[in-house]
Amino acid sequence: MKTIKGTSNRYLDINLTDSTWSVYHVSHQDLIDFLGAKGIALKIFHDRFSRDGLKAIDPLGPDNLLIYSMGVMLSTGAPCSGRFEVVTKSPLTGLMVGSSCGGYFGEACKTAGWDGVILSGAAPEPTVLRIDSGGASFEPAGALWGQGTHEVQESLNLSPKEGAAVIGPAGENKVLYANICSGHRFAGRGGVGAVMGAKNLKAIVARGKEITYEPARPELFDKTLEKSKKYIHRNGVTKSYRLYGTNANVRYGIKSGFSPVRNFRDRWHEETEKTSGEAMAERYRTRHSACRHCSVLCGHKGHYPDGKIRQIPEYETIGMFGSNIENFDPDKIGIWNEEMNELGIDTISAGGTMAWAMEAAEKGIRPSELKFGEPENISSLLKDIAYRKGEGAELAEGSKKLSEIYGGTGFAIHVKGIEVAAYDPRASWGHGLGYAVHNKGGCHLGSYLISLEQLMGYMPPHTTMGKAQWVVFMEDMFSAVNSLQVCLFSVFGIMTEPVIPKYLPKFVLNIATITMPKVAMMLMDWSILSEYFMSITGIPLSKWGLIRAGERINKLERWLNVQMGMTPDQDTLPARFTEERDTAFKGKNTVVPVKKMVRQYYRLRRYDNTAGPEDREIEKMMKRNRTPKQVKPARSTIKLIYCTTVMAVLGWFIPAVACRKTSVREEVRALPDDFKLRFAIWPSGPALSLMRVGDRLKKVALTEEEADMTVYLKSLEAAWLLLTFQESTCGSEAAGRLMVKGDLPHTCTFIRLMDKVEILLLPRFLAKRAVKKWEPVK
Amino acid sequence: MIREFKAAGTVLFGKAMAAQLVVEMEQQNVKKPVIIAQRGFEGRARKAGKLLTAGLYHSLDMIGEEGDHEPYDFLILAGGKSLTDRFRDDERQKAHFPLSPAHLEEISEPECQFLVIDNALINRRNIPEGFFRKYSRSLTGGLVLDSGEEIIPRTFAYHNRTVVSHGDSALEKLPEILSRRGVRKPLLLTDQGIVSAGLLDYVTKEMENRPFVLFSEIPSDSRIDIVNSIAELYKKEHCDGILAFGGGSVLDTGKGVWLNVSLDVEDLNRLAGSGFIPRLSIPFVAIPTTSGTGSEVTKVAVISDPERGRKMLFNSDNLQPDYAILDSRLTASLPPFLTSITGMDAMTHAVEAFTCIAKNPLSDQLAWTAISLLRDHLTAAVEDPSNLKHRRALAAASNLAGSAFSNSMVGLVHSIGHSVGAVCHAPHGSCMSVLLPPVLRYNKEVVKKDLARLLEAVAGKEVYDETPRDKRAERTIAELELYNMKLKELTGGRHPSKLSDIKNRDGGQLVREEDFEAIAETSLGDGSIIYNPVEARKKDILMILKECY
Ligand code: SF4
Ligand SMILES: [Fe+2]
Repeated sequence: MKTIKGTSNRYLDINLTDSTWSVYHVSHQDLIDFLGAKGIALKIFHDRFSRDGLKAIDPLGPDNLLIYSMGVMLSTGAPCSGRFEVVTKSPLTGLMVGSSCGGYFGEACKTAGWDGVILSGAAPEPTVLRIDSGGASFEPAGALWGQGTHEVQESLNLSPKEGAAVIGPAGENKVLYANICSGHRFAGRGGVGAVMGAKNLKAIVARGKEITYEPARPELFDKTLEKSKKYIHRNGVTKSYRLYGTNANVRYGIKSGFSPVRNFRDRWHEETEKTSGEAMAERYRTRHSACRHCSVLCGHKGHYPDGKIRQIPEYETIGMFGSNIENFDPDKIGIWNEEMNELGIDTISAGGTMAWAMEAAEKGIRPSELKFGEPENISSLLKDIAYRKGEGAELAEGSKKLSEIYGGTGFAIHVKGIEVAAYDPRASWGHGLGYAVHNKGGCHLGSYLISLEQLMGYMPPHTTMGKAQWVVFMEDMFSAVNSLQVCLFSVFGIMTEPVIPKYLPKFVLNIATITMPKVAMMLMDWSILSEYFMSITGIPLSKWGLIRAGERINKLERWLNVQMGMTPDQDTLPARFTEERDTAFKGKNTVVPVKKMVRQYYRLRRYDNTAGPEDREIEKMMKRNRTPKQVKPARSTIKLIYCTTVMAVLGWFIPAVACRKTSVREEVRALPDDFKLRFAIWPSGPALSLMRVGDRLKKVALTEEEADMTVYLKSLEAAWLLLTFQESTCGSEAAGRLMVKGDLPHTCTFIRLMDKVEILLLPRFLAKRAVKKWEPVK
Repeated sequence: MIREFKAAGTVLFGKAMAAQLVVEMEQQNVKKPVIIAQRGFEGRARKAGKLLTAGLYHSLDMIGEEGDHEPYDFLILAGGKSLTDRFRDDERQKAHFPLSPAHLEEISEPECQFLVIDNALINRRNIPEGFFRKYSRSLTGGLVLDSGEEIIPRTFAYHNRTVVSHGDSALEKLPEILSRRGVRKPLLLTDQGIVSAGLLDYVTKEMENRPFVLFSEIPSDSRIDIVNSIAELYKKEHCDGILAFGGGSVLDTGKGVWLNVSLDVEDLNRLAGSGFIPRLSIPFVAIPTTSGTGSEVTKVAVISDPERGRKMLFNSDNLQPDYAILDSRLTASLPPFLTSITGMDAMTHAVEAFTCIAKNPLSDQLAWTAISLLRDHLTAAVEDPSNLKHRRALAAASNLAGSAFSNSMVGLVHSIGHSVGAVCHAPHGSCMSVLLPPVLRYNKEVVKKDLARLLEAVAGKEVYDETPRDKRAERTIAELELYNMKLKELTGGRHPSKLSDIKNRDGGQLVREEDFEAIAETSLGDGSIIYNPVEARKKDILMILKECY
C-alpha cells in the first residue's frame, strides 16, 4: 500500500457532461492559505469563475460546481476527524454553501488518493460515478434512480473498502433543501442534494484503502492526539452530548427560552420536556451511533415502541418537528426523521417551511393541509415534498420563496433563504447576530454563540457588548475547523478545557468575555487544532495563524456571496425576532437589536457598503506570499571598511616603501613606460591606481577607462579573503576570483608585485601562507 | 557511433563562491534575477540569497516554488532535484544552489547552467563521496575513467559550455546542430591548407541544401584586419552562425569575428582582458582538423594588431565555442611526426592540468582519462596512422585534456614552451615534448603526491603497483621521458627529446643557447606561470632550459 506524507493535494476534476476527468493539483501555497476542505473548495470557486460568472451560475444548472473536499485531518485517526465538506452554490440561497458530513465516503475517497472531487457539468442521464485510485468511471443509475438514501446504499452492494455519497428522491426532484447522505450521516443544509440531483448523479462510490497517510511530523502528531483525547474526554459539554446527544440542549432551551415553539412564536411550551434528551434516553434505551473516529459520540440510536431500532433525531430535528409544530410525541419525530433521511430532505428546512405554512394558514394568507398540533398528515406531506406532489410541490421551495409569493415574510423564519435552526435568538443575542451574518444563512453553526451564552454560560446573553467580537472570532475558528474538518463539537472540548476558563468563577468570566473579549479569547487554547495541521502537513502554523486562515476563508466566502448578489439587507433576522417581544416564556422577554450588532460586526470585519470585503483585500489575500520577498544586500560594512583601509595602506606602501627595493623595480621595469595599473573591487568598491614613472610606481587617480589594465576582485567577499591573506593572489586567480580588463599579460607582473608586497608587509609566518615561495625581497 | 560530451556549464565551489555568481549574472546581461526556494527550505534559501547579495548592490526577489516566476530572466533555484526537475524545460538561464549534502546527492549531471556549491551552505567535508566522479562521468557519456580518490580543494571554478560531438563521422551531426540552433545561413571559415588537402568536402557535403558563405583565405596568424573584413562579409551576407573549420589560427580568427558581429564593436581592444566578455548569442561551431591542442574547447583567443604592433589577448568563459565536432576522418591523414608532437601536447595539457594550482576534481577526472587514452593509443596511432580507432581515442583525449586545462590551467611547461615558440619559432608540440619531464622534475617536491598518483595513468596499474611508494613520482617522469624516446624511434628521430633536437624543415636547429636569456625573460610574462605550483624565477628557467638542451 502506498503511503503519502501529509496530503495528496490531488482533486479528481470531473466533467459529468462529457464523462471526462482530470487531476487538479492543489498548490502548496493554497494549502497554507486555505488549509484544505472548505477553504480550498472556495478557492476553486474563486479561481474558476469570473466575477460575472459567479453571479450567472444557476445553482441547478450545469455551470455550478459541486465540490467534495476532504481536508487534512481525514483518515489520520484523530478524534472526530472522519468528516468531509460539500461546497456548492446553494439553490436555496443563491449563495455559497458548505455542509459537513461524517459518512464513510470521505475516508474512502481520501484513501483512494483523492483529497477531493470537483463535479462540473451535468450528466445526460441518471448516473452513478465510481472513483478509485486510478480515476473515475461512469455507470447509468438504472433502477437505482428513485431509491431512498439507505435503500440505494444497500443496492450498491458496497464492499468494506467502499463508501458512497448518495441522494434520495428529494434530491432527484431538486427539492431546494434536499441533502446528500453517506452511510447514516448527512451533508444536510442548503440543498446540496438538489445540486447533485440536477447533475443527474444518484451516487458517487469511492473505493478506498489503497493509500495510507502518515503525518509529516509523527511525534508532534502523536503528542497532539494524546492531548486532544484527554481534553475531549474530560470536558463537561462533551459528557452531556455523549449521554444525550445534542438533545441535551432541549432542557437548556426550556430553561432559558430558546426552544422554538409554534414557528418561533412562543419560546416556551410546558410539554417540551417530553422531547428532552434525558426523556428520550430513558424511553428508547439509547446507545451510541456516531460518526467514524468520533470520541464525542453525539449520535445515538434507540429502541422505538414499534420494535424498530432508529437513529435518535438530532436536537434541531426534535425542535423543528416537536415544539415548533406543536407536536410533543417523540415517537413520531423519530419516524419522520427516518422518513426524511430516506427521502433525503434536510429536517431543519422542512420543519421550518412546514411551520411557516401552518402559521400562514392560520393567518389566512395561504390555505394549507397543515395545522399546528395536528401531526397526522406530516408523513404523507413529507413524501409529497420529496416527489413535489400536491402542496408538497410548493413546500419544496422553502419558506423564503413561499413568503415572497404569498406574503408573511415577517414570520418566515429564515436568513438568506435558509430556515433558522431550532434556537430562538431572543434568548441569545450573540447567536442571533451569528444567524444574521453567517455567510450560509440561518445556520446555527456559523459561530454557535449560544453555546457560550447559554449552554456553557460563559457570557451574558442579553447584551450587545463584545458579541460582534465573539461572532467574528468564532466564525473564523469554525471556518478554519471546517477546512481542517474536525467535528465542531469536539472543538468545544478542545477550546474550553484548558485550566483558566475551566476554573475561573463564572461571574468573572461573564464580565471578562464581554468587556475584554480579546483577553478572554487568549485564555482559551485551541493550539491543538493548529498543531494538528502542522504535524500532518509539516507547514508551520500557530494558533492565531489558524484564526487568520479562518478569517481569510470566511472573507473569501463572503466576497463570493457578494458577487453572487448578496446585499447588506440580507444580513438580518426575521421580523419575529427583532419586533415581537412578548412570548409565553416566563423569563426575560426581549427582541434582538440586530442592526446595531451587524454594524459593529461590519466595522470589525472592515466590510464596505457591499456588505463584503473590498476587492483590494481579496486581491491582496490571493497574492499573499505570492508577492516576492526581498533579500537585502548583505554587504558587510566591516569588511568594506577593512578592505578600503588595506587598499589605502597599499597605495602608500607600494610607491613609498616597496619601490625602494631593487627586485621590485625590476618587476616594474617589465611594464611599458607610463603604464597605468588599477586594482579594484568589482563593481564599484575601493580602488588603487598606480602609474609607472621611471622604474618606480606612483599613486594616481584613475578611472577604468584611463587605466591600461584593471585587475578586479569579483566581490567584496573575494577581496576580504585576499586582503586578510586567507588566500594568496595566485590562489585567488586560480579560484577565478580575479578578472582583468585590458592588457592581460601584465597580470603576472601584478601578481608577482603583490607577492613581494606581502612579503615586505607581513610577518614571515603570515606571508608564508600568502605566497608560493617565501624569500627575502632585496 | 557518435558520442556526445555534454556542457558542464559553470560549477562554482567553495568559499564565497555564491557572491561570484553575481559577476556571471552581469556577464549574461541578467536584468531581473529571482531566487526560487524549495518548499521547506525557505530559511536556507534566504541564506543563499544573503551570500549572493554580498556581491550585489540591490535587493533580490525571493519566491516560493509556486510563486510567479514569469517576470524574471534568471532563475536561482535553491533546493534539490525536485526543484530543478520542475524547471527542467524552462528556457531561461538558471543557477542551481543545492542547500544540503542531500540535495547534492540527488544530482548526477548538470541541471542548470550554473551549479553553485557554497561552503557556507555545504561544508567541503560533507560533499557526498564520489560526487564529482559521478558528475564528470555524466558529462562525457560515461567515457571518463576513474582516478580513484577525489581531492577536493577549498575553492574552485569549473566552466565548460561546449557541447562536443565525437566519432568517426561526427560531422553527420552538423545539420542537426545547425537546425537545433536555427542557423539558416552560416559563415564557413577555413584556410587554404585545408582546401588543398581536400578536407573541405567533408563539411560542404553536410550542408546539403543549406546556403552558406565560404571564406577560405585565413592566414596562419589571426590578424585584426582580417577579422574586420570577415565581419563585414558576415553582415553583408546576413549570415546567422559561424563555422570555424581548421587549426588554431582559423579558430582564433573565428572567435574574433564572433566577438565583432555579436557585440557589434569595431575596436576589439576594448574587450581585451579576462571576464568582460558577455555571453555571445550567435552560434559558433568549431571543427578542428588537428588533434592535440584542444583549442575547440579553450577560452582564449589571440588576435594580433600589426598596426599598433601588439597582440590582444582575450580570455573568457564565454569564448568557448557552443559546439565542437571531432571527426576522426579529418585527422586520419596527419603524418606520424605531427601526430606524435600534438599527442605529447595533449599529454602535457593533461599532466599540467593534474598538477597545477587550479586543479579540481572535475578537471582531474578528465585529465586522468586523457592520459590513460594517450597511454594506450598515442604510439599506436603513430605506428598505424590510418586506424580510426586510435584517431578517435586521440581526439577524445586531446579534447578532454583541453577541457581540463581550460579550467585548471597549465603551468611552467607552457610558459617556457610558449616563449621558445615565440623566440625561436619552434613547433608548440615539440617544445612540450622536450620540456615536460624537466619541468615536472623542477616541480616534483611540491606536487609529489599528484605525480605519484599519475603513474597509474601514465604507465598502467601494474607498473604503479610494483613501484615503491616513494619512487612513483620519479618513475612517472621517467616514463614520460621513455615516451619521448619511443616516439623518437617511431618517427625516425624527428620527435625531439632535447631542445637541440628541434629542427626546421631543412634540418636546421631552431633553438640555440644564446636565445635562452630572451626565452626566460618572455616566460616570466606568460600568464600560465601564475598557475605553476612552484614559483619560478629567471634563474630557475635558465636552469631548466640548460638541462634539456
Ligand atoms: S460529535 Fe457527533 S457530529 Fe461530531 S463527529 Fe461525533 S458523532 Fe459526529
Ligand atoms: Fe599546449
